[in-house]
Amino acid sequence: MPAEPAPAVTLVCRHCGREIEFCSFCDRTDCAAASCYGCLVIALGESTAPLHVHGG
Amino acid sequence: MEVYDYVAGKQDWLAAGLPSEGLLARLPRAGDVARKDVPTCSLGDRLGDVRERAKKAGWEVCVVVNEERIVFGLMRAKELAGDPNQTAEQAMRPGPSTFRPHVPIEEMAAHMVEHDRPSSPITTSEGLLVGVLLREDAEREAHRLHEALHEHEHEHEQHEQSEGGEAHAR
Repeated sequence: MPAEPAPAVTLVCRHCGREIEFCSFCDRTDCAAASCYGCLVIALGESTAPLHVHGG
Repeated sequence: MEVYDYVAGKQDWLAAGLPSEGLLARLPRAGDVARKDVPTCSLGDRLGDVRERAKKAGWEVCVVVNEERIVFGLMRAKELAGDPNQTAEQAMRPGPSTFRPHVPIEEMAAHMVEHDRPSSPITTSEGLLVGVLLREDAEREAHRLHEALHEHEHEHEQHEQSEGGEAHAR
Protein backbone atom coordinates (compact mmCIF):
# COMPACT_ATOMS: atom_id res chain seq x y z
CA MET A 1 0.00 0.00 0.00
CA PRO A 2 1.54 3.33 -1.00
CA ALA A 3 2.40 5.65 1.87
CA GLU A 4 0.13 8.62 2.26
CA PRO A 5 1.74 11.94 1.44
CA ALA A 6 2.80 13.94 4.48
CA PRO A 7 0.20 16.56 5.33
CA ALA A 8 1.16 20.05 4.21
CA VAL A 9 2.08 22.44 7.00
CA THR A 10 -1.01 24.47 7.66
CA LEU A 11 -0.83 28.17 8.07
CA VAL A 12 -3.48 29.81 10.20
CA CYS A 13 -4.62 33.43 10.13
CA ARG A 14 -3.45 34.98 13.37
CA HIS A 15 -6.58 37.12 13.60
CA CYS A 16 -9.49 34.83 12.72
CA GLY A 17 -7.93 31.36 12.87
CA ARG A 18 -8.87 30.50 9.28
CA GLU A 19 -6.56 28.05 7.50
CA ILE A 20 -4.74 29.77 4.64
CA GLU A 21 -2.18 28.74 2.02
CA PHE A 22 0.00 31.82 2.33
CA CYS A 23 0.09 35.12 4.18
CA SER A 24 -1.76 37.82 2.26
CA PHE A 25 0.67 40.51 3.36
CA CYS A 26 4.05 38.94 2.61
CA ASP A 27 2.99 36.03 0.35
CA ARG A 28 5.07 33.64 2.45
CA THR A 29 3.93 30.17 3.49
CA ASP A 30 6.01 30.24 6.69
CA CYS A 31 4.96 33.64 8.05
CA ALA A 32 4.88 33.87 11.84
CA ALA A 33 2.30 36.67 11.71
CA ALA A 34 0.17 35.28 8.88
CA SER A 35 -2.99 37.10 7.92
CA CYS A 36 -5.81 36.06 5.60
CA TYR A 37 -6.93 38.50 2.92
CA GLY A 38 -10.12 39.45 4.74
CA CYS A 39 -8.34 40.32 7.98
CA LEU A 40 -5.63 42.15 6.08
CA VAL A 41 -7.97 44.50 4.23
CA ILE A 42 -9.74 45.27 7.48
CA ALA A 43 -6.40 45.90 9.23
CA LEU A 44 -5.31 48.23 6.46
CA GLY A 45 -8.66 50.03 6.33
CA GLU A 46 -9.38 49.13 2.74
CA SER A 47 -12.78 47.61 3.24
CA THR A 48 -14.58 50.15 5.36
CA ALA A 49 -18.19 50.72 4.42
CA PRO A 50 -18.86 53.60 2.01
CA LEU A 51 -19.55 56.78 3.94
CA HIS A 52 -22.49 57.70 1.73
CA VAL A 53 -24.66 55.58 -0.50
CA HIS A 54 -24.01 57.91 -3.41
CA GLY A 55 -20.31 58.24 -2.79
CA GLY A 56 -20.42 61.76 -1.36
CA MET B 1 -21.14 75.35 -11.12
CA GLU B 2 -21.27 71.79 -12.39
CA VAL B 3 -21.45 69.05 -9.77
CA TYR B 4 -20.52 65.44 -10.50
CA ASP B 5 -21.43 62.40 -8.46
CA TYR B 6 -18.47 60.03 -8.19
CA VAL B 7 -20.57 56.87 -8.17
CA ALA B 8 -17.79 54.48 -7.17
CA GLY B 9 -17.57 56.25 -3.79
CA LYS B 10 -15.06 57.98 -1.57
CA GLN B 11 -13.08 54.83 -0.76
CA ASP B 12 -12.56 54.18 -4.47
CA TRP B 13 -11.49 57.79 -5.02
CA LEU B 14 -8.88 57.48 -2.26
CA ALA B 15 -7.81 54.02 -3.44
CA ALA B 16 -7.04 55.52 -6.85
CA GLY B 17 -4.61 57.92 -5.17
CA LEU B 18 -6.68 60.95 -6.19
CA PRO B 19 -6.31 64.19 -4.21
CA SER B 20 -8.22 64.67 -0.97
CA GLU B 21 -8.58 67.43 1.58
CA GLY B 22 -9.32 67.79 5.28
CA LEU B 23 -7.39 67.04 8.45
CA LEU B 24 -6.74 63.34 7.71
CA ALA B 25 -5.59 64.11 4.17
CA ARG B 26 -2.52 65.82 5.61
CA LEU B 27 -1.25 62.58 7.14
CA PRO B 28 1.27 60.76 4.94
CA ARG B 29 -0.01 57.68 3.15
CA ALA B 30 1.54 54.79 1.27
CA GLY B 31 1.09 56.52 -2.08
CA ASP B 32 2.84 59.69 -0.90
CA VAL B 33 5.90 57.84 0.37
CA ALA B 34 6.15 55.21 -2.40
CA ARG B 35 9.04 55.73 -4.78
CA LYS B 36 7.74 56.48 -8.25
CA ASP B 37 11.08 55.92 -9.96
CA VAL B 38 11.15 52.15 -9.37
CA PRO B 39 12.46 50.27 -12.43
CA THR B 40 9.86 48.49 -14.50
CA CYS B 41 10.10 45.94 -17.29
CA SER B 42 7.86 44.03 -19.67
CA LEU B 43 6.98 40.34 -19.53
CA GLY B 44 9.23 39.51 -22.48
CA ASP B 45 12.34 41.38 -21.29
CA ARG B 46 15.50 39.32 -20.74
CA LEU B 47 16.30 38.94 -17.03
CA GLY B 48 20.01 39.70 -17.53
CA ASP B 49 19.16 43.07 -19.13
CA VAL B 50 16.56 43.90 -16.48
CA ARG B 51 18.99 43.08 -13.66
CA GLU B 52 21.66 45.30 -15.21
CA ARG B 53 19.22 48.18 -15.61
CA ALA B 54 17.93 47.87 -12.04
CA LYS B 55 21.47 47.62 -10.65
CA LYS B 56 22.57 50.75 -12.52
CA ALA B 57 19.60 52.63 -11.04
CA GLY B 58 20.53 51.38 -7.54
CA TRP B 59 17.55 49.06 -7.11
CA GLU B 60 17.14 45.45 -6.03
CA VAL B 61 13.51 45.41 -7.13
CA CYS B 62 11.84 45.56 -10.52
CA VAL B 63 8.12 45.60 -11.23
CA VAL B 64 6.85 43.71 -14.26
CA VAL B 65 4.12 45.71 -15.98
CA ASN B 66 2.27 45.83 -19.29
CA GLU B 67 2.19 48.83 -21.62
CA GLU B 68 -0.51 50.44 -19.45
CA ARG B 69 1.64 50.04 -16.29
CA ILE B 70 -0.67 47.37 -14.86
CA VAL B 71 1.33 45.22 -12.42
CA PHE B 72 1.80 41.60 -13.48
CA GLY B 73 4.60 40.55 -11.17
CA LEU B 74 7.47 41.53 -8.94
CA MET B 75 11.13 40.65 -8.93
CA ARG B 76 13.14 41.16 -5.76
CA ALA B 77 16.87 40.36 -5.30
CA LYS B 78 16.21 36.60 -5.30
CA GLU B 79 14.28 36.61 -8.57
CA LEU B 80 16.69 39.11 -10.19
CA ALA B 81 19.59 36.77 -9.41
CA GLY B 82 18.12 34.00 -11.60
CA ASP B 83 19.24 32.72 -15.01
CA PRO B 84 19.95 35.84 -17.12
CA ASN B 85 18.52 34.20 -20.23
CA GLN B 86 15.05 33.75 -18.74
CA THR B 87 12.32 36.23 -19.51
CA ALA B 88 10.92 38.46 -16.78
CA GLU B 89 7.70 36.45 -17.02
CA GLN B 90 9.55 33.24 -16.16
CA ALA B 91 11.51 34.79 -13.29
CA MET B 92 8.90 37.00 -11.63
CA ARG B 93 6.63 36.30 -8.70
CA PRO B 94 3.24 36.57 -10.37
CA GLY B 95 0.36 38.38 -8.70
CA PRO B 96 2.21 39.88 -5.74
CA SER B 97 0.26 41.38 -2.84
CA THR B 98 -0.26 45.05 -3.63
CA PHE B 99 -1.53 47.85 -1.44
CA ARG B 100 -3.62 50.94 -2.11
CA PRO B 101 -2.17 54.48 -1.99
CA HIS B 102 -4.48 55.65 0.80
CA VAL B 103 -3.29 53.15 3.44
CA PRO B 104 -1.85 55.15 6.38
CA ILE B 105 1.92 54.98 6.43
CA GLU B 106 2.16 53.86 10.05
CA GLU B 107 -0.03 50.83 9.29
CA MET B 108 2.12 49.89 6.31
CA ALA B 109 5.31 50.37 8.36
CA ALA B 110 4.01 48.20 11.19
CA HIS B 111 3.00 45.41 8.82
CA MET B 112 6.25 45.58 6.83
CA VAL B 113 8.28 45.24 10.02
CA GLU B 114 6.08 42.46 11.41
CA HIS B 115 6.22 40.48 8.16
CA ASP B 116 9.87 41.32 7.43
CA ARG B 117 8.94 42.65 4.00
CA PRO B 118 11.54 44.93 2.39
CA SER B 119 9.28 46.46 -0.22
CA SER B 120 5.65 46.53 -1.32
CA PRO B 121 4.14 47.59 -4.63
CA ILE B 122 1.49 50.29 -4.34
CA THR B 123 -1.22 50.19 -7.00
CA THR B 124 -4.66 51.62 -7.65
CA SER B 125 -7.70 49.33 -7.39
CA GLU B 126 -7.27 48.61 -11.11
CA GLY B 127 -3.69 47.41 -10.60
CA LEU B 128 -2.02 50.51 -12.06
CA LEU B 129 1.45 50.96 -10.60
CA VAL B 130 1.84 54.01 -8.34
CA GLY B 131 5.29 53.10 -7.00
CA VAL B 132 7.13 50.85 -4.59
CA LEU B 133 7.13 51.51 -0.86
CA LEU B 134 10.45 50.67 0.79
CA ARG B 135 10.37 49.57 4.42
CA GLU B 136 13.07 52.07 5.39
CA ASP B 137 11.00 54.93 3.92
CA ALA B 138 7.81 53.72 5.61
CA GLU B 139 9.56 53.37 8.98
CA ARG B 140 11.19 56.80 8.70
CA GLU B 141 7.91 58.52 7.78
CA ALA B 142 5.97 56.69 10.49
CA HIS B 143 8.58 57.72 13.04
CA ARG B 144 8.46 61.34 11.84
CA LEU B 145 4.67 61.32 12.04
CA HIS B 146 4.75 59.83 15.53
CA GLU B 147 7.18 62.52 16.71
CA ALA B 148 5.10 65.30 15.14
CA LEU B 149 1.92 64.02 16.81
CA HIS B 150 3.71 63.69 20.12
CA GLU B 151 4.98 67.26 19.82
CA HIS B 152 1.48 68.46 18.93
CA GLU B 153 0.03 66.71 22.02
CA HIS B 154 2.74 68.26 24.20
CA GLU B 155 1.96 71.75 22.85
CA HIS B 156 -1.76 71.14 23.39
CA GLU B 157 -1.16 70.08 27.02
CA GLN B 158 1.01 73.16 27.64
CA HIS B 159 -1.66 75.39 26.10
CA GLU B 160 -4.36 73.83 28.31
CA GLN B 161 -2.20 74.18 31.41
CA SER B 162 -1.49 77.87 30.70
CA GLU B 163 -5.20 78.54 30.06
CA GLY B 164 -6.08 76.76 33.31
CA GLY B 165 -3.51 78.82 35.19
CA GLU B 166 -4.91 82.07 33.76
CA ALA B 167 -8.46 81.10 34.70
CA HIS B 168 -7.32 80.25 38.21
CA ALA B 169 -5.52 83.63 38.51
CA ARG B 170 -8.75 85.41 37.54
